Amino acid sequence: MCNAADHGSRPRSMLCILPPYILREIAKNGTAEQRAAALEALGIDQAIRAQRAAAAPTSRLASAIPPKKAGKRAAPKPRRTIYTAAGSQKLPGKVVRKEGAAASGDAAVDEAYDGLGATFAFFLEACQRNSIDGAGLPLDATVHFGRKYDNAFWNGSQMIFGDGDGKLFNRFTVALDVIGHVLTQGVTENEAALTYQGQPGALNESLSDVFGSLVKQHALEQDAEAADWLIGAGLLAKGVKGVALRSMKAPGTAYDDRVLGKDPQPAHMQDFVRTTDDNGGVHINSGIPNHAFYLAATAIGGKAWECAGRIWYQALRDPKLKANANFAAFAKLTVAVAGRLYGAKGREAAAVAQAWQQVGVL
Amino acid sequence: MATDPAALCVTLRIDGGFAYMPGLAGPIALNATQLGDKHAAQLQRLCESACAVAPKRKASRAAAVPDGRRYQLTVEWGDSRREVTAADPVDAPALAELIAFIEKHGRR
Repeated sequence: MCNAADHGSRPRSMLCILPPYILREIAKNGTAEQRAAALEALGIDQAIRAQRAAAAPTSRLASAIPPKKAGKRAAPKPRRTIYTAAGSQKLPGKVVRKEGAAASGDAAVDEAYDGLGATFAFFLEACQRNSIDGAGLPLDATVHFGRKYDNAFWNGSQMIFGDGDGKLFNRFTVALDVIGHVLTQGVTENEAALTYQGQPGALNESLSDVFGSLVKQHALEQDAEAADWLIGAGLLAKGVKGVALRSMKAPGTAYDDRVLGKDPQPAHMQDFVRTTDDNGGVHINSGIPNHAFYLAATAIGGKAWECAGRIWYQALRDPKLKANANFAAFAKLTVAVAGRLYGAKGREAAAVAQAWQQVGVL
Repeated sequence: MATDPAALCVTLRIDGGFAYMPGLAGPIALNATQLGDKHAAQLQRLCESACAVAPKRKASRAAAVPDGRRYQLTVEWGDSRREVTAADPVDAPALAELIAFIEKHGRR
């Protein structure tokens, strides 16, 4: 078994032992399912694939997957529970909507429910990943957290969304990419556990922005060219001068407001911000890897999650990605993964390398 | 602590968070003299409750929760000064209430 997220049938596990040149042929000429499985297998380093194939029958990850039964296994489905904290900070709060229940009529509840569904669908369809942990973890979220609370976060076991103060921020469920961002924190924690400080912390934030944006693009079926590449569009309250919290296309331009100040995100390493605030500027310097992803995705073209997103996802899952990885370490991994997936001399690997060069990381 | 409510001054600094913006990172100050009697008394009660539940010693800096916010409160009351730190999610209702009160009534 290649992957804890693997929800396919037996032929997928067989791909682990196929050499890369055959996998690339399958990736070009196979059915949609075969192509996805081949790309998944290609994304994993050859030596690691061999190890995983050998270890699979007794591995912890494999044991998390239900045993195969005769016939086709049903596709994984989300298991969502939305709670309300009703203005308190007690978690998880009171259940207000469970999986399969009708819309509640409470905008925050229903946006969280739908957003978690869209994020689950993205990770399943684009990354062949079954929920946050790859093994169908239930998705729990609490809305109406705190009083006029201007934040959203992942606490290690669930997602939490504030209502915003209404003056600077609207409710934090209003933007799908914000929900995707928060859920991706759980994915990153499961895969790489990047240290939340300095460059690895900014990389952690960037990965959440990348996949948050891809969740939205996937839901809207947008090409890279059509996407707005904004994080938190609609989150800033009426009257605030700005379009979003961050722009991956043009870091540093999302807002310029009397109260909020000017968007401080850099797009290039020469403007890297050294600070002790914000865990070493994790929400500031994330602009650099964010912009690299945007450059790579638009250079490659098409649906960003199909190629650039796959490269970033496989780099996130690569065991060579250490908890203290800096931008350059991650950049080199993405170039290596692009080479494994699409050929070292392919235009994809070239586009990824060039993107990192353009932002001054490589 | 001194007993004159008018001598009570609290500052709050919020760091981090998904919507972290340097423009919002500056300290929020609230002096009891800025408030009417009712709110000044409420601030006094909230400070007493929050200081009672907050640990006396500064806790060692735990690993940050991604996108979680950190709060640093400084309560000055006459000659007395107390620093209280907290992080999301704020478990103690008294602390959460004081933070919300300062965000609502304080000035950047």
